[in-house]
Amino acid sequence: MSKLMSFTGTVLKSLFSKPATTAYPAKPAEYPERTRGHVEMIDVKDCILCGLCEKSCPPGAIKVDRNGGTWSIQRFDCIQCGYCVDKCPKKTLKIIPGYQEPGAEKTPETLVVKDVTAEAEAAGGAKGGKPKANLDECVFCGLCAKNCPASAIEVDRAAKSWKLNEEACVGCGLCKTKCPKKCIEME
Amino acid sequence: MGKRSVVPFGPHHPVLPEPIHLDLVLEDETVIEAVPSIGYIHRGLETLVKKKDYKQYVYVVERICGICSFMHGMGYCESIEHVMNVEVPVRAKYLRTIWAELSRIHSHLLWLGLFADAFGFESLFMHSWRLREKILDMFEYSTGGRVIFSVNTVGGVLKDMPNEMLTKFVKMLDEMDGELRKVTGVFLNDYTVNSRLRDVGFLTYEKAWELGAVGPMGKASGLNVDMRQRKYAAYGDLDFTPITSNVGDCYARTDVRIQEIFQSIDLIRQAVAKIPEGPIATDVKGTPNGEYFMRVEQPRGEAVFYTRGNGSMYLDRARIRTPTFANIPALLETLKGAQLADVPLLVLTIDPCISCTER
Repeated sequence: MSKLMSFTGTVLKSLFSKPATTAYPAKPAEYPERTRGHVEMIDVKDCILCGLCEKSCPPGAIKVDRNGGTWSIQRFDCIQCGYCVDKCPKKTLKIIPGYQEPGAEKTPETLVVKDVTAEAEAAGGAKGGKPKANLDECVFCGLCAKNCPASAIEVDRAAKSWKLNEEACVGCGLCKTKCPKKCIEME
Repeated sequence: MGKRSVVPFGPHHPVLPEPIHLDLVLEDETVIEAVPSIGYIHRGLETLVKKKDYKQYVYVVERICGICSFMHGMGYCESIEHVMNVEVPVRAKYLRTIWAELSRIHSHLLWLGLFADAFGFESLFMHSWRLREKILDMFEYSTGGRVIFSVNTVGGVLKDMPNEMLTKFVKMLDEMDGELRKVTGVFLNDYTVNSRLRDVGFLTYEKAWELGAVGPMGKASGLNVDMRQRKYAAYGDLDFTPITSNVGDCYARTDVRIQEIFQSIDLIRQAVAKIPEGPIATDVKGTPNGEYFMRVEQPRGEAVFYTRGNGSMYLDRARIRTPTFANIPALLETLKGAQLADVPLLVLTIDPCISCTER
């Protein structure tokens, strides 16, 4: 008999208990803090248009226009992997709850990063310039290389050499802010 | 000898979540031979390795499959870490183990639901997925994603689980235990369900070995092969014995998967008790130069990740051998001599993941 009635207990319990599902959308869903809803730029002022998010984005959803001073995202292409958030040297990108709503057209969302020059200078960069170290004062500590988000700087303490890969450099100016001897200038 | 006829099965079939086609050579209602064809959902993900650098490729690998997504990411990252001789922090290894075992529970519950649906037990399907939902909630709570987590990176993991969260998860799993036993008990004890599963689709130990069956498919035929015994991630610190059966029919394969759910809960309990404090990732500089074969035990069986780097940001080759690919020859063997009505059940019994197979 137990083999024939093995599901009866579960059926009776289900019959007299609340539904396992919720009445969404009448009752809104509750999302945990870590939910991967969408990528959001927390503060436009912090963005230095370095383009690391664009380079890192696996589906190519982000586009950075340094000349036009805009940052745009094609939300329907974004896979919420969070790689851009990890790569952002200024930590101005974040993944927050709230899913992209459905739409009939794939229109990118564009943010205008105002007054690029002034903001970049305030953040340590300078008009997208490249860093140059004053080797007389440099102690070859390697902090610039360690903090470089694009791994564009090579420091050899033994050989006392400081090299910049200009192609890889995104001009974010983080090396300048991290340098303990203040011997890096953005030129 | 009856009249022979060929009946096409799939690629679209009510019980198939993904497309695979079988040409069934029948003699009356008995299957004599099955000829498979795949290629309906090939996406060329292995080729993408030429366009995405080795760190970006983690997110591509995770999207090979929606069910064992985490373990694909983990296998690939561990493979690259071996190539680059990166030592992963111990806490990261434990976190990977916990997420991997939670993935195994969710995958097996998903399969149990689909399996119940295949033999026409709709409410058992709903109850299996109701329980799976609790595991998905744990994923969302800890990683932000319900199916694809994106927490693996070369050198460790991206998100930590505080100890309070881990304790809460263990408590939730303890509370689920009773319900899990009730629902899985129906698969194991119900007369009607048993009449569909017992003595159907035999795979002998010799054939399983010869055809290279992996995971629960091989274990149900007595193959004591479990890649977790190779002690990747934190499995070296945990105590477990692979679950096997000597019967080799559909019932044995269901039984092995159900016992694996409870084994995974036990492994999570052990891991939470032993997890040390410390960093969750190590900084990885440089590029991979060399090759490595990484073997991991996914819910469906052994997956192999071969990576070959050439010293640049882009790998030369990434080859992923997934468990369903390895289990198709064994499936064809079980189909020989089966009744036509049992074919959907037997196809599901390998827990087919065609997205994995075709990549």
